[in-house]
Amino acid sequence: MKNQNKNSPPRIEYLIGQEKDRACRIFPEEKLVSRLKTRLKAEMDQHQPSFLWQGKLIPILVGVLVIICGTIFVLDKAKSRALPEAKLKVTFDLKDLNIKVIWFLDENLNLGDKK
Amino acid sequence: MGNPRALHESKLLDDLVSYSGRIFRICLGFTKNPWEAEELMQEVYVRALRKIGTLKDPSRWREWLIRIARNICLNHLNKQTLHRLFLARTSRDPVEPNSPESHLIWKEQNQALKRAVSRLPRKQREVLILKYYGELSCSEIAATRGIKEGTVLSRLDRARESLRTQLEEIHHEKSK
Repeated sequence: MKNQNKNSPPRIEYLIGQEKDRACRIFPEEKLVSRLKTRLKAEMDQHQPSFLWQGKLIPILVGVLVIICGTIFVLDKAKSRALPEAKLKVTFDLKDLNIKVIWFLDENLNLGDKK
Repeated sequence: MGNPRALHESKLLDDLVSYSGRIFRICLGFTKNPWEAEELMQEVYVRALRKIGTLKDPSRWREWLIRIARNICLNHLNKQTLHRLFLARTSRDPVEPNSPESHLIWKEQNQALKRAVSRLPRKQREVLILKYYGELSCSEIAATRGIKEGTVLSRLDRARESLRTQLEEIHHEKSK
């Protein structure tokens, strides 16, 4: 009985073999592979991460912009508390901004001395 | 110079693609429909592509890929069972007939096989599909399913026996 079971009945193998042959005729191996490669390529293109996000360029730019705007805002607030009538010239040139800050502090000290 | 990891993954992907014929046949074993089998096979590879970074032991990619195929096919069959409860099945005929008679014979045989395989218990059915459709050896099936080789052999024996009995019954019903 055991030996008989191990030798699988030809009918099952024949039927399965026939089914596989038919399927292989409909989808030959080359056709299957080429269609699969096309699908995978499309999938890869679709999920390709964008260069800007991949290189973290945009988050860095946003971060730098936030720091610049924050610095300007804080300096402007500090200036208006000390000298309400004075205007701080705001530029995006950080070097220039530093000079103005120094100038503002010096003048503030001078005013304090005059009083 | 490319990224070594990317190069390694691309080589692995080539290996995976070279195995597509076998994955297609395993999907065919579950669905019994070449068009569905092709769709499922592509789904298997898309999932493999997305999860390729999670493959811990690259030397065991075959087992990993077959496990993905098995899971996708079983999910598909579960969904299909639910779908059939509500909607009439409108799948394509699995064969392009050469002649009306051969088409009829084939259709009958295919239906009988489909019915007999679908009546097998799940564990026996899986082993039978991996053996006959996937053409895997018993040790490969054991490694894929995480079971002993002896268990594979006994499930296979029971599946064959049950299939043979069912096919004979169907044949007798038809000949009456």
